[in-house]
Amino acid sequence: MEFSIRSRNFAAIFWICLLALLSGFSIMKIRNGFTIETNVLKMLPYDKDNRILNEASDKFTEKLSRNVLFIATHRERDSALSAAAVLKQDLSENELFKVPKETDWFDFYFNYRFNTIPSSMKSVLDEKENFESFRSYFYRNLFSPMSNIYGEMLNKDPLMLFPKFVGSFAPQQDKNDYENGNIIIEDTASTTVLVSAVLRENGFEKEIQTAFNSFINKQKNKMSAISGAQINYTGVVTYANRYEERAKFETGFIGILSFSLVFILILTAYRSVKCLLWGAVPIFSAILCGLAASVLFFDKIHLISVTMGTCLIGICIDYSFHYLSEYAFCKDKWDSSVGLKHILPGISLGFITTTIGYTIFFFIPFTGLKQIAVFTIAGLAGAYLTVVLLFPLLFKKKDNSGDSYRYFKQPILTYFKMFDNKFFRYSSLLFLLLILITGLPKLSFRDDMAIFEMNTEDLDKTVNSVQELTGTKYEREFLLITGESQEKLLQNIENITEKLEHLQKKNDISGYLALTKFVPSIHTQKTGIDMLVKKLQAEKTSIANLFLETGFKPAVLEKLINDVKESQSKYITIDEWASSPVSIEHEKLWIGEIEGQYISAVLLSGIKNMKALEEIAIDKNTHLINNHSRISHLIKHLRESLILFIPIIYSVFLIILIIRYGFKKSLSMFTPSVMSLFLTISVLSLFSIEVNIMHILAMILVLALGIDYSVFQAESIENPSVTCISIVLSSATTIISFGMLALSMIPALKSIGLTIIIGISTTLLLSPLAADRKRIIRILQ
Amino acid sequence: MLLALNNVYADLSGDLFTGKTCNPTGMPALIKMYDNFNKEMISAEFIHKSFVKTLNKELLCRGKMIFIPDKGIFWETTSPYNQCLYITKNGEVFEKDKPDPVGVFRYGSLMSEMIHSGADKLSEAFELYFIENGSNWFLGLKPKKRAMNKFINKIIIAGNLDGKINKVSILGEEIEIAEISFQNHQSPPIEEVNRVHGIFNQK
Repeated sequence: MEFSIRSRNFAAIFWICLLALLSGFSIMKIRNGFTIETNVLKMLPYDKDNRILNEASDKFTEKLSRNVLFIATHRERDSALSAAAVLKQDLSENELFKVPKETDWFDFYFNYRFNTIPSSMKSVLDEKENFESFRSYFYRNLFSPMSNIYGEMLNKDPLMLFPKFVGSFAPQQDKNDYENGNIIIEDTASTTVLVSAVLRENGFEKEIQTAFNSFINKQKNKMSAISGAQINYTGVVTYANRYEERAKFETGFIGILSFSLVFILILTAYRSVKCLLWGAVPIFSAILCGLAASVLFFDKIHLISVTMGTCLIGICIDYSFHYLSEYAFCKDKWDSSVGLKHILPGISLGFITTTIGYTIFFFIPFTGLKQIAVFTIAGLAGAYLTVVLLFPLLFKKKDNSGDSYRYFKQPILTYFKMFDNKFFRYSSLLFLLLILITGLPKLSFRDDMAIFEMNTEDLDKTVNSVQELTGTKYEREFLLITGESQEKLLQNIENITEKLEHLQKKNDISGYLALTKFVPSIHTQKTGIDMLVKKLQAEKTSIANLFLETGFKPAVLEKLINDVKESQSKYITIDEWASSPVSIEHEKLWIGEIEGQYISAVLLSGIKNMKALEEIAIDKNTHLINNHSRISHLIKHLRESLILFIPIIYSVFLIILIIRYGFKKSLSMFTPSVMSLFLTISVLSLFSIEVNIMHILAMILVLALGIDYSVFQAESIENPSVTCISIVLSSATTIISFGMLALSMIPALKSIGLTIIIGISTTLLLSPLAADRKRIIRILQ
Repeated sequence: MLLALNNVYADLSGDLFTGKTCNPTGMPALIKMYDNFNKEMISAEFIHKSFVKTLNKELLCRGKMIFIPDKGIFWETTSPYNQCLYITKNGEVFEKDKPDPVGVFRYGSLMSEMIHSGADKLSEAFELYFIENGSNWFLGLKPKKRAMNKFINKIIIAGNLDGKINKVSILGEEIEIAEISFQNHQSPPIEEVNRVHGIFNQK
């Protein structure tokens, strides 16, 4: 006996030390850069078969997250313009941003003007073309207003290649006005100036969002003080910000509310400050263990996982309740070890079944669910061990707490008596059967990635209006082009852009944006330069006469010939472009090298014929990516697999129960959970709620918790009435903590909340079916 | 170049742009001109002079212009190079037999904007100045959009009381950059009209 007490004390001390160690480890890891992820895509299922494309797609999304568009608005045009100028200056001085300058293009591309010869000019440089077409082309350029604006540069670039190249990026029907590279939009009420900038780092990173928010707040205050101009902004960072703010609020709200309600429950049920204070210890150790396991297994944890992890409070308090009920409602002489002995089989088996339920999450290729699984299993283990190892020491002596047993006794007794009445039981079951018959046929599923996205109508409105004003709206779908080398990649893009041009002419798409617009392949650059050299050599006299006829000095042609020859050995490369400021706005198109494959994205706009687009994406180097439909498809696949998986989990649970309790008792223990599962689906369907993957996952939890309750009941030989109270309290906390999720703005969390509310409530209401009603009624009476 | 500048300013008989801005809907000459644009098909020969400051010569091209109400302008350059452009009513400029709009010919969309926007809408895009001198009038336009301002600082349209335009002068910041004179205004022959109609209908 002495040895047993010693070893128990030693185990308790060991556990306290381990908890202290875990807190130190967690704090250290968090301080060393453990981050909270806000990118929805990062928690969604991943496709193991297309690892390179997934990685490329993730990188592209990350790069897209860096683009930010600032909107300065004022009723006076000059005030809007000066606000935009101040904003641009502040942006360029802030280390957070890269801001394109108007001179970037000239600084980079003027020296490469022969490398970017437009196709319209290449056609006149063709050997087969007569000189008249060259002459006509030359004159047309000179007659454009650009020849005058070009000023002295015309002598350096008499063929006006640089303005031609830059002009190819300007929209043909541009209704907007420009100043300092910014778009100006005027209406009768106000002037709006759009200033674009690019974040130097990932817009999904928390530090970046914090710095961005601080910049925005300062700018808003500054502008309202200077000119009264309104500063707004749009970009992925806006969404990430909103997502984080909301999830933070929800985590805090759910956490605080769960804590408060659990405390109120403990205080009401046990009427003891000791129970309240020590009863909460498993919650803290659960959070600590969950956090430590998360930082150990993952570099980042998704906000949704954190939000759902807070619901752990509702499950881990179950173990406390069972012990505290034993302690508080003990009628005989209290022995803390005996108290533990009474509840140990129940909570152990409960811990095993719940862990099995969550372990399934770990085998699903769904990053967010893995995080939830790790957090919750570690948390449950923490709570379980705290109850088992610390509670017998903490609750050695019974204090003079108030007895609330009688308050619970009467309603439970009444309910059990009602359930013991055949008429009530069968009519209830008939009623439930009716719900099943009317609900189940209406069952429909929703496999949409949108369930993980928050409702952001206001943000979408800003984005849509900006896209409408600027005329640049790119679709969710994009192409990923691969190549074994940078040159091969560029050639592959050029092949595909030829096909895209064709689609554009057929009006299957309205436009596209590809890397080769900025960096043609060396082959294309060389072809253009060679054609120009040949033309200048073959038609030198005619060109000299043309230059003379139009008023150029003879030296201009000589310089042109020399410049073209010099450019024959220098080509624009992706690396050079990407490291130059000229790439700031479009660097997102260049994804980089992944496992020996060079990858670039091609943006598409105005897709009207998806089939035509799919047809051009059939070769091994071209991939049409639609993250939305790809992930939705994966979600559907997972949901279908999970539905098939549920009977398997049930069978595992049933086998465990049969081994422990025999076939007949196991079946009766199983009935409430199974019925509650079907009832939950039916109720959701009756309210026209489409069942999604999160509903299914929550149903697995309902099942695990439902089995827990049956196990607690079955294992409670000494005090079944006390166990009943514990189960009521446990269900209440689970419904409270998970049910809060039903208030979430994130549909996925809402789905979990709703399922748990319906599922656990029905499990609790049906629990007398599994219990030894006669015995409980007798004891309660 | 200086000669060209003198030509422009000689027509003004005073400082066109120093006066007050005008309301074009109150100018009978402009009303007459827009009235003509709405109902008459006009053809005229044009001489387009371009003054590029880095070149030591003025550039000159000639051709024929046909205006068809509700369709647009057909602009055919015959010397020193051949080019057929057609400028649609909404300002798009196409080259004959080429599907894509021509980006560089900004004068075309400018002219379309001036002609098709109507007297009342003209003041939305430009500050307007107007003077009359005998049977001639001069309309001065200052673009309000800074994007256009980069290319063109001022435009002077010279016309007569019959509602015909004789000359359009386009001025940069300090210097005239182009001058388009029109002569031999007449109704185009029916075969010409049909030909141009056919081209426009392709779009």
